[in-house]
Amino acid sequence: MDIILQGFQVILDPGVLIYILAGTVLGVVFGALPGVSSAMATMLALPFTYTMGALPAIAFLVTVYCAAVTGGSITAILFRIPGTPSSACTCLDGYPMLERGEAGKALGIALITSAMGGIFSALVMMLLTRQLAAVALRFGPTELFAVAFMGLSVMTALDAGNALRTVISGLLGLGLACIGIDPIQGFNRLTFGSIQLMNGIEMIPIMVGLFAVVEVMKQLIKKRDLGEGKITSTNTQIKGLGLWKMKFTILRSAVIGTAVGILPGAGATIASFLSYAAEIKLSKHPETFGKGEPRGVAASETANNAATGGSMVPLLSMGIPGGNAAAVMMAAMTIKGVQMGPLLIRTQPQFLSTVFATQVLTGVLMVIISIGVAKVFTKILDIPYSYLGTTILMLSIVGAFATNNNITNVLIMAIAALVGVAFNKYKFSSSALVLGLVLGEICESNLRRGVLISKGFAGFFRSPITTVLLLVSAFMLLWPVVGPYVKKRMKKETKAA
Amino acid sequence: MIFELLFNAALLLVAVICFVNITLVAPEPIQGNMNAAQWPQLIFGLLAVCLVINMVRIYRNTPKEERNLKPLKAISLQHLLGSRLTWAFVTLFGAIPALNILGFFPTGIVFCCVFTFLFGERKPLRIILPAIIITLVLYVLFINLNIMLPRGTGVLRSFHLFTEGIFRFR
Repeated sequence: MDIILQGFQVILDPGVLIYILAGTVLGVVFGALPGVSSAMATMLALPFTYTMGALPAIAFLVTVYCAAVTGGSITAILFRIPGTPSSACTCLDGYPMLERGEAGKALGIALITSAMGGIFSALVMMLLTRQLAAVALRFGPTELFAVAFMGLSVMTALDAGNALRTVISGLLGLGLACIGIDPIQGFNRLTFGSIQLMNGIEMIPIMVGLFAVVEVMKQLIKKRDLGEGKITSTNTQIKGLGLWKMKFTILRSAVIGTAVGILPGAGATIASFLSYAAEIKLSKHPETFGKGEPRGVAASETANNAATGGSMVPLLSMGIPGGNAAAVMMAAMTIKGVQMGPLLIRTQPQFLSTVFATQVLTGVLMVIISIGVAKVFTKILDIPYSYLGTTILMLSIVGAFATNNNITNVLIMAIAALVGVAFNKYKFSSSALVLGLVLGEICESNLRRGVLISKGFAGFFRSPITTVLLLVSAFMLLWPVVGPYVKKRMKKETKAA
Repeated sequence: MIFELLFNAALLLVAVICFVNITLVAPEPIQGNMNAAQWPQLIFGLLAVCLVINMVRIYRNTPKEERNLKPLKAISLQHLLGSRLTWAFVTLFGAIPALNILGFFPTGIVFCCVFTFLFGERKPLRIILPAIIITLVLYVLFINLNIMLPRGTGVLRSFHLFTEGIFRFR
């Protein structure tokens, strides 16, 4: 309890409070820009911390990181551009809500559930860091493979009516993830002599191409002008969100997000896909997902923000950066003299408490600031689509290029857009492709490490966690095929009885 | 049907090429572990099988009277050139080498002009002025975030370096 109070004491200092406020605004704006991922936002914020003390610097960076994940949802909903990879799922239902004239509702749900996810995970972390760190330590390559495989197994849930096409899309994503230097042997795969492809395929250009550019092309064919249509700033009022009806969705997604975030190497993107798919599986009306279902937005946004809190556990308690943003933060903390690892709780507990207290405060501030920022962004919808669409395309090009200052990424984005148009026409699933791309590297590297450590695939089943996760995955994969037969048989039996 | 089959066939071709490529250049297998080629082989193998099943399903689910090549014959160059989507993609793909050679500024302005035109705007001032504003705003925003945009080559590179000096505020 003392540690928690100490954390709040640090962040309620007026100087630190100003840094947190500035960090929230910066993070939300950075996150909203395509191509500026949460990791890049943290990196861009790094120079500001050089003159700060250790504790304010950490509070500032944590704020930027958390707020950037939230900021990604704004452009995902308004322009179908996922600002960060973790907001890809938000596009699926957020944008159809906007098309229905519910931009304000979608944004309100995204921002408030983001805050809820962040606060939930921060509170869990505060109370259970040691215990959760111990659990996370039990997750080796086989367990991580099982988690990633579970992520893949939910793929069929993304579009149950087109299971085969969804699987094909997912496999394409997994195939794309194989391009580049392989993670274990350092072998060059499928680069066809291109130096640019050696680093692999970046997620942002693919997402921007598949979602944002395809949407602009669709509007181009439709000749529809959103600015003069029904979506104007007048119906973007943030009210009547119906959050109480979504309480279980929010709770489930917060738990999934926190749990996935704790696992080193996993992250906000996987968390959002997993909780989105979980909602589809548990929903009585799965057919509404992807067509503007508020629960879809809530699930994705709660989980990706909860994962940011979770990712602090391996970073602080074990010194393992779970992702790129965590690695940047680790570098910044090392500069400031923080010794991350198991001894941190004993030797420098103030850092741990500051991080979690900052997350709680950022969650609260984010609601206020993000709604303000979102309202400014929604005004953009009043611009005629001939300009808005062009701006989205320009932003997409810049976003793809900015991923690593490489023109090849713009080409990848253009190809992804072309494929995306065909995907739309022939009912393939762009989100399954993205899921495959996100999970491909994690799945492969952990499978191969697991096989090496366990001396064969059979060794995977020695771990109870792996066994349970793989069984659940198998059930989730097979249920869409077996389920209808089982239901038919049960109906027949009932009739006969 | 025919276009859908062709799209699936194109994906199948990609899957087969990738499978063959990774098999031909596969590294030596490591004892007790998977090598770098096995995972991609599994993925592309499965992908090829799924695509074949999908193609068979498409063919079977199409009514017999629609199983023909008529839609292919109906395509004409005139039809393609008249499509706004074709021009949009030509502009998008054309912008890539242009960004490398001309840099962000000229390419961005021309790109915006073309797309504004494709969206139906016809008045020259309403095309050119917003194009300059959009390009300039994005340029200033990103160079101030230390994200360097394409500078082009030759004189245009010097021009971009000059503008970066002007518009960078810190």
